[in-house]
Amino acid sequence: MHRFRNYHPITKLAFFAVIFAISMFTENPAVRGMSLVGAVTALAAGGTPLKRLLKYIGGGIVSVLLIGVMNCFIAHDGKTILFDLLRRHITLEAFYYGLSAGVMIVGVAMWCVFITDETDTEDLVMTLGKVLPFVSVVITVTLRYIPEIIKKFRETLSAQKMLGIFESKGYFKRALIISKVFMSVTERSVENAMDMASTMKARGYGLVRRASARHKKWRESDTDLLLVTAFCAAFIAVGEKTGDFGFAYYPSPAFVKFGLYAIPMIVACALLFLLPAGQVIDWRIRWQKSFESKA
Amino acid sequence: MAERNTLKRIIAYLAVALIIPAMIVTFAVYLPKKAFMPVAVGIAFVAVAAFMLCFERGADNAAKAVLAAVFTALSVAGRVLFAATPGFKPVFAMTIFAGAYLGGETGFMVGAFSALLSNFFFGQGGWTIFQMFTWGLIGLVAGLLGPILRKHTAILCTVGFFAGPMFSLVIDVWSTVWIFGKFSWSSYLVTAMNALPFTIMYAVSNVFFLLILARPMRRTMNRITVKYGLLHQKRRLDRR
Repeated sequence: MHRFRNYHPITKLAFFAVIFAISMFTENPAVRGMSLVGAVTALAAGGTPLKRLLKYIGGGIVSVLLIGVMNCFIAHDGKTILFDLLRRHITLEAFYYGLSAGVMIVGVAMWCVFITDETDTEDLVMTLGKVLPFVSVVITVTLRYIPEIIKKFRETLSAQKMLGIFESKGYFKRALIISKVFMSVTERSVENAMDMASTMKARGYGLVRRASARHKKWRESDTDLLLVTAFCAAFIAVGEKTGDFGFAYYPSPAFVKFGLYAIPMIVACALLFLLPAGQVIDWRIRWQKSFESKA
Repeated sequence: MAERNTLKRIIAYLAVALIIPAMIVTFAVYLPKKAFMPVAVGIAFVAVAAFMLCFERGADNAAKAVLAAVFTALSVAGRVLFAATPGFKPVFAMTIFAGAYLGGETGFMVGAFSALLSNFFFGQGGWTIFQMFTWGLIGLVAGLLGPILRKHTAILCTVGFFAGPMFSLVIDVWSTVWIFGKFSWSSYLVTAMNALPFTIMYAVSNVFFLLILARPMRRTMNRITVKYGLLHQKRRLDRR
């Protein structure tokens, strides 16, 4: 149902690369804040359960405060001295810088959650399939094995549990038993792998060039998103170069310059960061309307 | 001829294993954050891509593909199954086994893919490429020491013990620049101290898993070698 999930992997890669570059390399707290707000709204619009979202926000607030405090003990610049510790100044500005860095880190981490939700392993195989066919075969086979190994491990472990192997044993012995179960699964998987390799060879693996299936085609919307991303990225890059939206934390936090270019730069940042949430909301409205028109 | 090729390969592996981490640390010390981040990510990306291209050379070998896939799957499944115990996971052990028994290139790929694919469960991010590179490097070193590691469990466990802190210290370079905006030894120390419980856990869990899995793994791989003639076939090809 998500609109963003349906984009071509290359479009998604380009978009998220720009998002990461701007979030990580801009020192301005306003841009970092917009990135964080964009990530949270994208997650909320994307259907992340409220409980999970609140957990992320709570964890994010704790992380921001923790990084702020940690930075006070590392950076000692700034004119507002709070107190002295071991002959070093603990300053308010260092705390502000830490808070800003924390906002950036939490923002990027939330974007990462959004990426994990909106991309799948098919994107990876599709991107690599044409360039590195052998590597994509390895990834495909790996993806087939992961659930099988997990299932086999759980089955074997529950069988062992039923036999009463865990009764009145210490943590070390339990870990030892679990590891032995893992080993039995490992032995079985490696043996099966060789059988699978023989089967692949018997079916003519490696005789001809591999074909690669592509389930997602390049659409007009991919071109549109790429153009918008490139346009916004260019605007922000020029803005960074001119320094019209420059910010300094030391000796006291203030805008170095707030020039003519600052407003378009803010608009470009807002557009870029709020785009995923907007896309998902727009897609949901259209989805809803399609049902209404049928009714 | 085959010996000369092996020597060339060992020199190339050693260059990657020593020069690239040294470059990343040097750049972290001397470059500002804005320059360090793209440069470091670029170096790690190029190293991983180069190994992927080398790995592509064995495209017609089905056994190599499936064994690499199984070791990667075991590593990812292990990381998922042991998710409740942070730092206590068999990823290092599987990567080291892959390197020791299947060669450095496959070891690198198993380490790199383990990071990439398991992060679909644990979250992707800027750290993924560094995890890929560092775990890959551990597989590569295990491949270089393969003949010794296959025979001596004590050396295998020693390598595993040092692999944990090595991984943690390389990732801490990235974390320091990411959190504090610039690299300094004091901030690096703070980051490394924060990660100390994980570093210890990595070292302990590596020794634990390698110690338990070494003998059965040796038995399984020897059995495969005899049953399918996997490694004999490789030796014959090398002699040509």
